[in-house]
Amino acid sequence: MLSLSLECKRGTILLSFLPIFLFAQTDPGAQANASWLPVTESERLMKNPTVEKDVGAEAIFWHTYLWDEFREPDLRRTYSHYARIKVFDEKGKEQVSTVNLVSFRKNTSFTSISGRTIKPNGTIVEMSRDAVKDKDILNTGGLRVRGKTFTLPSVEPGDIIEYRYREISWNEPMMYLRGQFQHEIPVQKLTFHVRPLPMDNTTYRMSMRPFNCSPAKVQHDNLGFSFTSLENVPAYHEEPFMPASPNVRPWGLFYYSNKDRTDANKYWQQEGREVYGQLKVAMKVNAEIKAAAAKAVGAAESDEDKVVALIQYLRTEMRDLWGAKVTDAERGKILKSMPKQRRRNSAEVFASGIGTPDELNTLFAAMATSVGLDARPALVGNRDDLYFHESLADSYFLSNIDMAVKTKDGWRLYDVSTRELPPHMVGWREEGTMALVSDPKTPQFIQSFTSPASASLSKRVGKFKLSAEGTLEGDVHLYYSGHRAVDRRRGLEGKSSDKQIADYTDDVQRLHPGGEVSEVKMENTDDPLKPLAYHYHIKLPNYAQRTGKRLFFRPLFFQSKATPLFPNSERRHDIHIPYGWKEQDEVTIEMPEDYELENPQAPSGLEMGKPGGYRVQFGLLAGREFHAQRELVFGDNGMLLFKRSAYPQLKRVFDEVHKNDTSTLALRQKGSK
Amino acid sequence: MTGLVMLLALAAFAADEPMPGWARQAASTKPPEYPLTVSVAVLLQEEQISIENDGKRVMRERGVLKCVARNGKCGAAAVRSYNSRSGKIRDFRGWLLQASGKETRLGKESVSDHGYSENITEERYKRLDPGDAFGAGAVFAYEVTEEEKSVFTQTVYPFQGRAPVLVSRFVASLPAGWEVRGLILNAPGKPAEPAVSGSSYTWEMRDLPPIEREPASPSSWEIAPRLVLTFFPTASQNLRPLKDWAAVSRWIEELTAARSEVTPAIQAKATQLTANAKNDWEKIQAITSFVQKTKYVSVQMNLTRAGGYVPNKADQVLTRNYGDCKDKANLTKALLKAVGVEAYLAAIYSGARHYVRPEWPSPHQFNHMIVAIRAPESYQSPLVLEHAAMGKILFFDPTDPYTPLGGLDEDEQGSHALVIHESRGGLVQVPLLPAAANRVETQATAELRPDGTLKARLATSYYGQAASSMRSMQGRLTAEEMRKLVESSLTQRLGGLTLETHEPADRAAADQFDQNVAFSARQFGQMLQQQLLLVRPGTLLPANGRGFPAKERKLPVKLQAEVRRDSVTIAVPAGFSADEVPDAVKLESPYGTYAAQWRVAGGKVEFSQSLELRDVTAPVGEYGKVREFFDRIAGAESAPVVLVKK
Repeated sequence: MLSLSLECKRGTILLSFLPIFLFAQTDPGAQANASWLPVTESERLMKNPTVEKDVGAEAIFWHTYLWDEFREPDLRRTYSHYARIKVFDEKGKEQVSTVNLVSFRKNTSFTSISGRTIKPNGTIVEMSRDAVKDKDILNTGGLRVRGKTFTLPSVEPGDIIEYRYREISWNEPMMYLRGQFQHEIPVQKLTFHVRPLPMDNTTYRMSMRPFNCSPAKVQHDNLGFSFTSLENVPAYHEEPFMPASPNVRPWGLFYYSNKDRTDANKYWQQEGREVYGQLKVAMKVNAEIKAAAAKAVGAAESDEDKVVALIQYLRTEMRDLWGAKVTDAERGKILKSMPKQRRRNSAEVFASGIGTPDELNTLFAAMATSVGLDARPALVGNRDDLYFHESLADSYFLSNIDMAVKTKDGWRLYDVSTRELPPHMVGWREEGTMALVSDPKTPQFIQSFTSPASASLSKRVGKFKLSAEGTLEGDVHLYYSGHRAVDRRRGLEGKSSDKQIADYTDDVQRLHPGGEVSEVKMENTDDPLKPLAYHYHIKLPNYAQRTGKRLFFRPLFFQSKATPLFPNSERRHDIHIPYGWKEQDEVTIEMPEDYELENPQAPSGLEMGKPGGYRVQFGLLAGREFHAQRELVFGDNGMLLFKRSAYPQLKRVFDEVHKNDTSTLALRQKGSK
Repeated sequence: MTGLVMLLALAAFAADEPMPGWARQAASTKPPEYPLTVSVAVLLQEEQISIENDGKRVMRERGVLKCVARNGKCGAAAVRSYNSRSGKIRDFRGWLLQASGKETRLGKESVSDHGYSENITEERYKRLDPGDAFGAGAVFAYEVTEEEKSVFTQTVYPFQGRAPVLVSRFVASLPAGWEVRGLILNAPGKPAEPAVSGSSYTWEMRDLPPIEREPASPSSWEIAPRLVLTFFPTASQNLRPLKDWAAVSRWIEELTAARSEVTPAIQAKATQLTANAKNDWEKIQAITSFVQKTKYVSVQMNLTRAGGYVPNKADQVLTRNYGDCKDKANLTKALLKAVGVEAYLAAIYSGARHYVRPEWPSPHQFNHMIVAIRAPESYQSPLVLEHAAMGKILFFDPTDPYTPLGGLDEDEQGSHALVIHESRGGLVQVPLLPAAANRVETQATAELRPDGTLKARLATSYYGQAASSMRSMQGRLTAEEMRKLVESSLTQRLGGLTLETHEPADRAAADQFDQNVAFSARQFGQMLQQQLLLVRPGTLLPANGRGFPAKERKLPVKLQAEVRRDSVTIAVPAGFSADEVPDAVKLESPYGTYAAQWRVAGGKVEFSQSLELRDVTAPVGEYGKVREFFDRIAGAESAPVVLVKK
């Protein structure tokens, strides 16, 4: 018996049971998507898109078939697509007439590729076989990237193109598949057909869970497929600061399971125990690991110090499989040597010196346990993927493994693999999400810690002298901590310090092209316990603009070249800020002797409520020193997600911040009229 | 059994193979001090080519690289390109000698294999990566052997990439009786005579400085010295040396002539396209416009057997409606032939105007194919070349979908192109269009309110290559994306604003692109002490400054000809009069001319500017003057007008 159930976010609805033994001897692939469907006159003569205006091409339909089967002793998955697309203009022609298929899987191939172009008068131009070309993009040990490319023949605006292909995988992981219900072009009708493994082969049952859409009721065809559909799906559009695409894009998760998920709490209890059992094996330590752990913690006494010491040790001694310090060839070698049916255990990971982030965290837990800490693997959600909620009863949605260590305040999450952050912080993707702490008896969910905005600080200090000619000269010190430092540190990884300095000098010069930059220094580039620091001296002619009797300048030096955070007035999606941050700036400018400030006025501050605030203060210090202080906090208190309807307000706030940041002051020549 | 034991013994020996003497010797060289931007110095770069009578080549490349960074890691790898159809990498090995003296052999496990691009299926490369251990003071040596079967009797050896090289050497070993002629390009005064030993010829250069990346610099291909060689086999071989440009032209013509046959399908399409054309010029316009819309798809096959020069048959390309540059050029030629207009394929180098050198007749100097069209006698354009044997010819690039007939990509203008013809072909210099052909004109009208907000309309007309850039943007983006891009660009220079209207209009027939925008800016003028109003009219327009950094320049500055003419009129709130108005600016320089003036009258601030840049490459010594020229322009564009409340 086969069942395809359609689950909604709240609860599961079992929709159908369908016997498929009738089809057991037939190959549904031979029939599914196997022949061209009739083209109607209205399709041929269609002049304008119907789903979304201003597009160059639109899919009339997009049929996808997914079927799994045992071909003893192997397991085969076939993923077949059939798209019929109307081309409206040259832009659309460019966009859709060449198709690139790429697979990162070793045992996956593209077959049965065919295509044709249908002219408005009904003439059909078939794609020849030699139009399909192989692509062998990368081949290194265990990593192979291959694919096919083809271009539909004779395509002109007004034509319909249609193509079909199958992606066939042998013995590849098939428990989960994300079926995209939204493409790069709008689709009038999208259907998704599924034929899971027969239940006489497995006790696993396939279900589909849709997100961000409401597909039609599941139906069944005479080939043994269950199918659902969506209509009038617009094209996918990206925007800056948008939630991760699984939260906005219509898609469906197709997955096999033999677990009862009706009671989410019960499911998570069982899952937490199983994870503990599985990872306990992987956490098994040998003498070498024990010795390394003991050496790493040294004389550390408190649990917190031991944790920090272990993390520091692992970050120094072990490399991240996906990091810049591992070559393609090394990566390929490790991937090739990975056991197929199980995780590598800590001893294997430790011996290789290279591990995936999950493996490094497991090794950390193994070492932590060996020095007497209560450490458990924890499954963690990812804010850069689907936002997790406990009602999503599937550990698939908790895609990362971090380590939870029991402290006096309860469980606390640690992540060895984010080397650019201090040990007490996890990457922003794992902040403010749920984590399941595994346990042999009572697993529990904890909310991962969201660092305050002040933990991700940009502190900038400048002390300058302004000449009567308008030249600004002085010393600049910048300090970045927390998430603010992560990308910067990643950008520095693998570079010599000379190269780091040369590149940074170029960056400053690009920002201030006329500036002479010297004495560039950097500190703590790979020490996440301390703020990443940059120091330089700059001489910047024409910083102040000189008129006959005045000098005009922007006192907030660090914002003098800033641009508004939200440049566009229209918005499609909600706004997602990855993490809260704080900016703290201090500028001192010694003014030229013959000039005086012409009634300076500091721009007003802004109260933003719970997410943060903005304030600026101008003042005169002793002598001729002008002093400006600025502080901006945003995304504090976990306020990181804003509805689309709040966008105009958010834009207004940041436009105002920009306006104030770039305000100008006037210095007037003494005695001038 | 014995064989197996021996094999295992050999394998064990290979795994421990110590760094060879040539690498060790090079590693002992002490490189000079380099700028901080240089992290890797090439102590030795050597290529040895052995050619057999049938054209089979075996190339052995050796390299010895030193990490000269004072600390940290050096990102470097050995990369060797090959063609999977006609050749292979036979062996790739390396050694790493760390500063501590620790030596590591890098074998097969350190080598990865990559495809070059999505569409080229045969062109590949292998990469030997020393990894993280290539740190300060370490030496990485490698040796790679490639074999290839080629119809060519020429080759190119770049003496360096961008890194500094202490010794760079090319050795050619030829079959008995063969001769070789070499030239060293981009190295004035360097004699190209090789050291000869039997049938072995060696060219060598030493102490080549680094070529750093600098804005507006010529391409490294136009700067780095390279050896170009032509071999002359004995008469008995099938291989044919190309002695002069006429021979190169003839050779390509032989490969391509049969591909532009006027078949019934070609004839029918040409007739259909030109049905309404009243004269030859209109026929040319109709056909070139059609071929521009043929989709560009690059699937190059059989490159080392000259496949890179052979287009698909024109009627096949017509049927498929896609092809690469040579396919599109060849289709243009065939369609024009069908309506009685003569046209020729023209090989050119895309991306570096001065790459092709007349002194080395070789098909290896080109990477692109365009078309040279016999222009009607009545047609007048600076882009027309008066050719002694071919008459008036007009160059056209059908691969560029955004530059209409009568225009040409900036890098193709002024470069050398090889016009392909059996008897009249040869190398010519493509004409250069005047600056005015590449111009932008903007008229801005705006109203400034007492609170500093501004309502503005900008009407901009783009011509020539400037119009092509806009067309390219419009071609790649949806209307919404383009609108957002324009809004972002305006926001970057004017702060928070709302774009109210955006009206792009392509007038390709006139090689013109218009764009009208209307927007409200949150803060344009700044009110000081409720008395002064500060207005910078030039900031309404895109900046002309080049932002050349204030640091020592190593390379010449390459400027491209263009013209800008702008005017800005801003109505200011009632009751304000001029307090300070910038003095007019007039600049004359070898790089171009610039003039700007401001006026306050009748409640309006007026600003106008004109800029004409010349097509010139300024020597390094003039960098200061170039910077000053552009800095003064940038100063004028942001100069404030101070208004005072009466």
